[in-house]
Amino acid sequence: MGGSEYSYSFWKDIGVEFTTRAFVLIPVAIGLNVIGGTFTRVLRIPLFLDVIGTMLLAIIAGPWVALVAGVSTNIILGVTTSPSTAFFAVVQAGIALVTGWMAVRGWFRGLDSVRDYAMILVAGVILALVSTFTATPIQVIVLGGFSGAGQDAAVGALLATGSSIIEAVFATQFVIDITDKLLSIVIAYFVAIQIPERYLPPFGQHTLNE
Amino acid sequence: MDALLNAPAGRGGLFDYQPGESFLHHMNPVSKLALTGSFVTVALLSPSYRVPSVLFALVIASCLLAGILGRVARLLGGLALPIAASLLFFHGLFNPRNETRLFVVDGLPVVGRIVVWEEGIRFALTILTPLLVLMVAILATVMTTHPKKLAVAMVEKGLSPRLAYVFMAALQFIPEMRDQAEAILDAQQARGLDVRANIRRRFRAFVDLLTPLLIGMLITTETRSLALESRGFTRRNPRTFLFEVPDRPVDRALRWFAGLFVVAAVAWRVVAWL
Repeated sequence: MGGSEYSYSFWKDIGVEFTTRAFVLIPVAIGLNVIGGTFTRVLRIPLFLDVIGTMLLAIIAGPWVALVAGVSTNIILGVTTSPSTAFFAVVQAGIALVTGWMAVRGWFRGLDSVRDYAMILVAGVILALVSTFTATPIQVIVLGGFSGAGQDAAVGALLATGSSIIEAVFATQFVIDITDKLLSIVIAYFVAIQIPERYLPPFGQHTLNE
Repeated sequence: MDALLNAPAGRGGLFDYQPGESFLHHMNPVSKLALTGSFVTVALLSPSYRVPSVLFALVIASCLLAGILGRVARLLGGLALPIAASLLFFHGLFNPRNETRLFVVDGLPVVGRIVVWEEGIRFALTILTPLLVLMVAILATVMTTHPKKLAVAMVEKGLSPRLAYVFMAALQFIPEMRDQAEAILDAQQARGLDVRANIRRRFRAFVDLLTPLLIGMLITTETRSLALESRGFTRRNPRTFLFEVPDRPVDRALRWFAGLFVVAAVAWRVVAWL
């Protein structure tokens, strides 16, 4: 298929992404990020799954739109749910840009071969690393390693057995992230390919097809 | 107009706005945000818990004067207690830099005795006090500011009206999506979705719940974007508003103070570091 009418550049097309359609999609993605947490509670899945909306938007509407959605999610959760969430907006930004870059590079074009499945898994591992490397410094410097959530027990146990704070937080964060981000990208991808073609923004038609 | 702005922020609203007439309610929302930002920055820059403790006392006193202290305290309990407990417990007992004994608890079952160390407690308080300042300042801002007033004030100070739309729409969407999500969940359970099945099934169920929710939202985005376009969403001209948010000289003075406070704190840290 000749897909040459739509070419995309990661840096030059920042303005092109922000159509009215994109601005309408951002609140939907924010809602999805928040609702992900609600469903995990109902279905008793012991993860956060709070970046699915950001990843989905990065695949169907582009990295910069996803960046606005991700950062806004944490600002809104910061003022409505838990103020310290706002610091982790940096993690959302990293996830948005990296997922969007993968989408531009054609990582999410159909599942035809073993290689395509492998690409999704590699994407999940890379995103887990992005999340761990951005979240750990914030967790250590601003929150002293603890967040008042379940993972505190794991960090505390590592601290008690002689690890430094950074090691304890990094290890705990990575174990959670590798599962969380891998599942998130798989869900975001499967939801993205189920969206009827006519409701996909041009960016998504380009990154998911051809 | 006043009736609109004094009404609680809607059913299941996320913004916990409490109507009132205190000095915090009358302060320009942007000034409130500037003060919040500067207090939090200064608290985070401080090397010990002394300065943040003073700031914490200051924001608590403002809440008391504004008549929202009871509500702030109740929410603060839920937000701050878990992290305070983790920080004090783990750092007090296991911080690698612990050297000086603060006190010893003897005769405990199982573990025998526990030593609480001074360095760990100091470190925990240095982390905890800026977080408390952040939590109280944000709660106070949110409780005394109607979200619509906040949006108008931000756009007047140069925020893009489109970003203001994103925030307002998200605040409105989240409770709406939550209701829809519950309806979908009920419908799927009536068709035999088992929320106690094995993890693979539940994961599959997660996608099955998300997809109808999202496609429903996507169909409305089409209508929504047409509606926005027809109301000049993409125009770059200055906007006019249905109501005014006053910006008094004292509000401007407070913003200047917020800026200078941060500059002074940075200067203090740089001098101390040299």
